[in-house]
Amino acid sequence: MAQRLTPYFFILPAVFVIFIVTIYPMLFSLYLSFTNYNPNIGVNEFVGFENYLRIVADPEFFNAACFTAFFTSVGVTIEFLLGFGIALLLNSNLRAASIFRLLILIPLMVSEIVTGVIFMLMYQPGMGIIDYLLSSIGFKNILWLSDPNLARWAVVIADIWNWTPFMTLVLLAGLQSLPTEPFEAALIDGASKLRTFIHITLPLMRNVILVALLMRLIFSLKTFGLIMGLTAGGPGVATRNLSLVIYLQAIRFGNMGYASALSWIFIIIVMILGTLLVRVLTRMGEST
Amino acid sequence: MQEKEPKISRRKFVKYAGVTVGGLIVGGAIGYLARGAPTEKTVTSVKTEKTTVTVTQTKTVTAVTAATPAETKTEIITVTETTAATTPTGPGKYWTPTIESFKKLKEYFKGITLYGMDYPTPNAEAVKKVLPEFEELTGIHVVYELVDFDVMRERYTADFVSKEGKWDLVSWAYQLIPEWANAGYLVPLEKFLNDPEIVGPYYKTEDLIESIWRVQIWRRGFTGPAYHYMVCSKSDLFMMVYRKDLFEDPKNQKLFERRYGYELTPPKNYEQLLDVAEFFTKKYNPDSPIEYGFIQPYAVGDPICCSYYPLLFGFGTDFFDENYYPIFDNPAAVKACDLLKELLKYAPPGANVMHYDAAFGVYQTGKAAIMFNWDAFFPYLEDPEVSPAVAGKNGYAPTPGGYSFRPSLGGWGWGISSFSKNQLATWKLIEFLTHPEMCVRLALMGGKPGRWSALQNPEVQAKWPWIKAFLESLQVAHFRPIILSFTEAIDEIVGRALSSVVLGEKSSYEALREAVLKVYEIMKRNGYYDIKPIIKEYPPPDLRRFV
Repeated sequence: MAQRLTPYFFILPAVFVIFIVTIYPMLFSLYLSFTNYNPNIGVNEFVGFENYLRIVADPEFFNAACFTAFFTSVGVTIEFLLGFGIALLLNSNLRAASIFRLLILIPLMVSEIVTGVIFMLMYQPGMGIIDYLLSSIGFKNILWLSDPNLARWAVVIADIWNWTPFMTLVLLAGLQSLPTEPFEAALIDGASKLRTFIHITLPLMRNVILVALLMRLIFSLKTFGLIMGLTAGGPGVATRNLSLVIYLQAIRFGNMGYASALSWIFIIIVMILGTLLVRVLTRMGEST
Repeated sequence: MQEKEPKISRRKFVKYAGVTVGGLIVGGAIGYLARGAPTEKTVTSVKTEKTTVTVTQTKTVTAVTAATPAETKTEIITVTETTAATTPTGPGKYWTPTIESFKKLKEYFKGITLYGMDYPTPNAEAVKKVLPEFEELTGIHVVYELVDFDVMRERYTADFVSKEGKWDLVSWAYQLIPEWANAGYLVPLEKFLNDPEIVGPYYKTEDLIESIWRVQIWRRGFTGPAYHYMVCSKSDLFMMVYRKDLFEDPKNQKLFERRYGYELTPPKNYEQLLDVAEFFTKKYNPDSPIEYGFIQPYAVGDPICCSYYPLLFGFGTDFFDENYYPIFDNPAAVKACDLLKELLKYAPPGANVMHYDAAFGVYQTGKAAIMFNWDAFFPYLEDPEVSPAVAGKNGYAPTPGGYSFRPSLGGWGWGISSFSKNQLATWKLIEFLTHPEMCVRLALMGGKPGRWSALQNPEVQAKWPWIKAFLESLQVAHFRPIILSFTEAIDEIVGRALSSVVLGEKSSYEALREAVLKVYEIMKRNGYYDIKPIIKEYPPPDLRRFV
């Protein structure tokens, strides 16, 4: 009996930590989502599904959801394409590839909030380096952070700079772990590089691509520091994503109940998108 | 050779070690949760037998019949409470009539550490400089961090919700007091002010700037007794600073008079403001000696709201009526919003998203002729090392009025956390920092204390050129709404509405009307229209509607 229980003794501290840090806060958050708890004012009453119904009728939620969808879809797509291209280059017999591999890591080492602040300074009209470089080719005083449409792209560009190296690293690792025999066989059979890439590289890389895209999707959906440092959700509410809305509701306004409901809706959205992505890529792989 | 059998097997050793470590973790957690709270070495007396309390109540019932077929009756009950301590016959145990006398507190408070935070301003920096003196006199060590506004809010919220009591000294803006006072997170200061053992007549509450002192009162649940929850740490006004050298330049004066038909002076009304801003903007006047005529913060949230307040008040209206119904979609408020957008024409590109510091930077680097901003930052403008482009060239005046002259009143205060284990020591720290003697010193160091005596001190007025304009504005300054959920209702909803107007997304009326409906829902949610009677005599709204 004691021997049977011993393994549980050893995992008990880890389970305890996971419960305290993850499971209990999630359950408490679920409970809060059914209340109007606001520590700033001191109210805490059970309100049922009122918070969830409020989300459905809240134009700010839909505005933030739209921007989050735009930011994630455009950002992750460009990061993937760029990252794959750089990974293919680094995987070839490039001179000084190891030096490039090191340099490509630098943006990844910069935290999101610092990236946001750096780009905020670079985007300044009349002062920032981006404005200076663009004005030298005839584009003067572009109001990157003052125009709502441009501000959205400004945020996406900063995110691409910060996270493309992550894609590059993951895809490069995948490329380097591929077996060489299929490529040798393709070479012998006279297949072109493009056909080799489409019919051999991509199918073999399917699982790695799935992991890279899934991880990036989740990180991108919950981006906070970059947007906070760069635009703080402005101009107006043009670059407010769901993470920022949840933060504002919870911390600035103290609407913990409503913020908890928003968080749970957000979790559900992320889970649905993640599941969809896995299914789509799995089916694509099966069909090839 | 036969191997010696170990006395204890490896498996058993690891098992026992794991159980011990697990037990230590659990025991440590239980011990931490069950720890006794460290208390002050002294007794925190609340009321002595000598204190007498006088409460007078008057009740006025007024029936109001609505014009609609359904009759409605409104009961308005006015309750007046006064509490008075007896006149002390001699020095109390904790009296500190002079800065030097704080030395005697060492006997009671030595070894205590107090924690506080503040937003980085010249005032906070001046306070940091005098804290070592406080520590030397009293033996109380003060940890005083200067952090960003949002960081302060996060830390305070976490501390209040967890009831940890890490932050003893609570530093916050007056319009945000209702939330925390209503939730019971702040100690009513009457606990100390009315105790003759703790505070004596030397503290001179009558010397505190009354317009700020009275907005630091709150009634819990709308009908509870009126207590002060903070003492003014920093008195602020949204003021106008202008390039005096440009205004006094004879060439500019001649050109201005030729163009507009009157003398170039710091603007006193909105028509003059628009003319002056246009004159000093190169885009509209190639003869302008400076690039832009005007700058003020326009970033969504608190900055754009602060820029809107003096315009709204200047047009003779306000956010709420006497029954706390939002009224800021009236014609006067719409005109104020139109003016807010109009002024943006004379500001640099990108001004529509500028925070206080960015807008300040535009003026500080000599790119704008006029700035509206909080005067808390003005000491930097007179420092040639920090502002070489404009130091010594500035003139200061109240923000111009429209139909009424109502500059926007700001101000921060110091309060005491209800969860602090050293409340009396914290009060003594507040007393030190707001002492009549100390306030003059802080003012000379660039601070903005909340005492008349400090701001009327000749040395202070000689050193900081805007103090006279500040005192002039203070007489008629108007406060921001003192309501629950101020941040959500005003900073967020009104801020977003104003931002959508300056970005050209909506018209002024459309945006303000939407905001009024949302603010109404928040006020309703907070019980402003359910609780009867609601005490309406404080703060007195003193509204004037634009007709």
